[in-house]
Amino acid sequence: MPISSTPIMSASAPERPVRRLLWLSARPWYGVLLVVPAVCLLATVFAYPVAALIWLSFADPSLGLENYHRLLTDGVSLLVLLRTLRMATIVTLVTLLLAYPYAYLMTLVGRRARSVMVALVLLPFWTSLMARTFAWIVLLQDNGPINDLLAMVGLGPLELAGTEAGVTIGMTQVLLPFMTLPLYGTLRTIDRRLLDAAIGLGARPLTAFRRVYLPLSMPGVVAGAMMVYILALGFYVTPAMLGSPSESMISQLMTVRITQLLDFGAGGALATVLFLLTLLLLALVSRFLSPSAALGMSTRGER
Amino acid sequence: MTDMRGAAIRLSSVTKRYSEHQPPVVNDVCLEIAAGEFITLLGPSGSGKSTTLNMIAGFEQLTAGDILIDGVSVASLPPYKRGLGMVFQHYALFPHMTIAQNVAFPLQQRKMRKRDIQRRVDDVLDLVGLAHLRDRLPGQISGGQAQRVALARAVVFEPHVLLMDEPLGALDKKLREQLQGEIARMHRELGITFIFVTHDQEEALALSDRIAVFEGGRIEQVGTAQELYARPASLFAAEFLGESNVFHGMITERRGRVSLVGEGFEVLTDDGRAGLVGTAGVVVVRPERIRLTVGDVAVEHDVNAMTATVTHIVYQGSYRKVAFRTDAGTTGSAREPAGAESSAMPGDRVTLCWRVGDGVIVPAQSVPVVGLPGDALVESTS
Ligand SMILES: Nc1ncnc2c1ncn2[C@@H]1O[C@H](COP(=O)(O)OP(=O)(O)O)[C@@H](O)[C@H]1O
Ligand SMILES: [Mg+2]
Repeated sequence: MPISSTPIMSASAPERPVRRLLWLSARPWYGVLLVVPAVCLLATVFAYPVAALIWLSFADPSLGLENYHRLLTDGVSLLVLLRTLRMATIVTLVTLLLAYPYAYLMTLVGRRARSVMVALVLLPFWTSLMARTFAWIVLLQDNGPINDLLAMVGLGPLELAGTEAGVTIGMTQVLLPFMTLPLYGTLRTIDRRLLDAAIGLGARPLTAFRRVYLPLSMPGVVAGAMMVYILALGFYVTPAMLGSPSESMISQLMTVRITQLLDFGAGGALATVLFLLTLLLLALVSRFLSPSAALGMSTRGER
Repeated sequence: MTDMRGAAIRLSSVTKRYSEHQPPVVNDVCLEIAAGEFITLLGPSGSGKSTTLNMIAGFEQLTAGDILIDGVSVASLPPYKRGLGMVFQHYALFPHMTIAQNVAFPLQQRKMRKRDIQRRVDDVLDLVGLAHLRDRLPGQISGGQAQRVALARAVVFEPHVLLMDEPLGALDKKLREQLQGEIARMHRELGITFIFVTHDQEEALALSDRIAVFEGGRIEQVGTAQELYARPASLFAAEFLGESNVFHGMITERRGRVSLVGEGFEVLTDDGRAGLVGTAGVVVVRPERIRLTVGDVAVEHDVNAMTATVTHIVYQGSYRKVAFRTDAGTTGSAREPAGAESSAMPGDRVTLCWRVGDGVIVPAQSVPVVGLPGDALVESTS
């Protein structure tokens, strides 16, 4: 985009920053400079350790597929991997069920109510993850408030703390915003007048929703689900604190292998599998959505 | 597409109020629409046309009154049970469905067999000349094509009534005229009742059997284009449709005639509306009815004459518009067809002449004309 001169801008008084930017866009390759810091940072703190770990999974203790063979046969790794996939799926579905009506309501209410609703979504980010997880430990105890409540309606006590159920509850709460926000981003762009059109053409309101609104909301559903699923796969703090070692998830297993057993090869193999799973998911989804939409960055599908 | 027929619609004192504290947005609207008629709701923005249409469609609830389709009240039916076709200004095509799927949508809602749906969709896409676009998505076609698809989708299930809310408002002039032609053709071929909303008087005049002029939530006047143009019932209707010369004064009865006496002039009419005598009123004269002569002329019988000065002249191709100021201070214009112009030039003293029958008396302020006794031009169901 060559811009030859800046006669339009030169008349205005605070012209310096504008000039600077034009100067950059006039020489496109200078723009590359803008991403250099980010690339350097990612290369040293992300790409290098990941590459090193992948390398170790093939090379430690000896070159070969030994670590992957063990992963499939040690009787634990595969179990943990499947449990991780299952819990990530459950958490994704539960967050979706909770977030969809909430995000839908956000598109209906007035401006003020909406900002309150956004604040409620973001509230968890203002408290530390540790604090929230400790709070869940208290809430989920056998004689904690949730079980008291259940007892009052004649249920329970349910074993929540130290179980998969407890971990699922905790993870759902932590991951809910990552579903709600991309979903809301998509829902707000849907023209509600299309629903009127569908109803005018003979569709009952529920049919209109299913045939028109729901399909148009899919980019947001997929983006939110991707986000939550990927984050849930690698979740550590909540399962470590709310769950039990006998029901650990993959990141807990990795931590044990690497920090306690110093078995970098086995840990690396787990990390590599997790990494490949994530890439596979992204690839699958980007068949339906543009890559940026799949990551929730854009609110619309490609079409 | 052959056995379709229109439904008659009756609006009876239809009223819509959004808030207790504000005047109604649609106020006591009464209208009879004949089966197969093309009627246009014409009025400025905010006059309540869309609200009226949405009440017919069922998207808005009535505050008072009733709507009958073929004699049956539909006021409490939801839109999906009214079976009316509707076209919006914003097309409202479903962006995730192909053109063919969009058009098939209303048929699927009616649980029609797949093969029949396919055939009907093809038929109606042929009708609007878009069969070749059937597998495109709405985002891949132009605005004019999108509106044709919306039309196809609205008539594919053979509704008895088609409602259109400024369907051409988003298109440029050329496309608009082209689509006007297509809408008129569809009305002829389908034979169903069309209710068309616009704020564009030319569009209304070009398309409609009858026009209902809306203002402030009320119907000012209903009639054919010729009736509205020749005998406007109110100053608003006169000024909204076409151009007008407007003379203000008191309505009196003189020499057996209803006439208007202004400051320094008098205008005779043969308007029979004796009910207005003694009130402030207006005489409306269309520009092409005024004949201009330079200098003084002998005044004929049954002709109004007034002296004026030409202020400026605008050439419009097939005619020229001569703007003047009368000696009594009224500004206005006359329209002279090319080839029959007077020799009047800016600054000339001229005499304006028009036949007594060419002036129409209307009340000075807009008062609801609905229900005026003996006024054949105003449809009233009361
Ligand atoms: N939902 C609503 N709440 C309050 N006022 C409304 C609403 N919808 C429309 N109005 C008001 O009703 C009036 C008529 O609107 P509308 O029927 O859309 O006019 P038109 O279609 O003739 O331009 C306008 O003054 C508009 O502001
Ligand atoms: Mg409108």
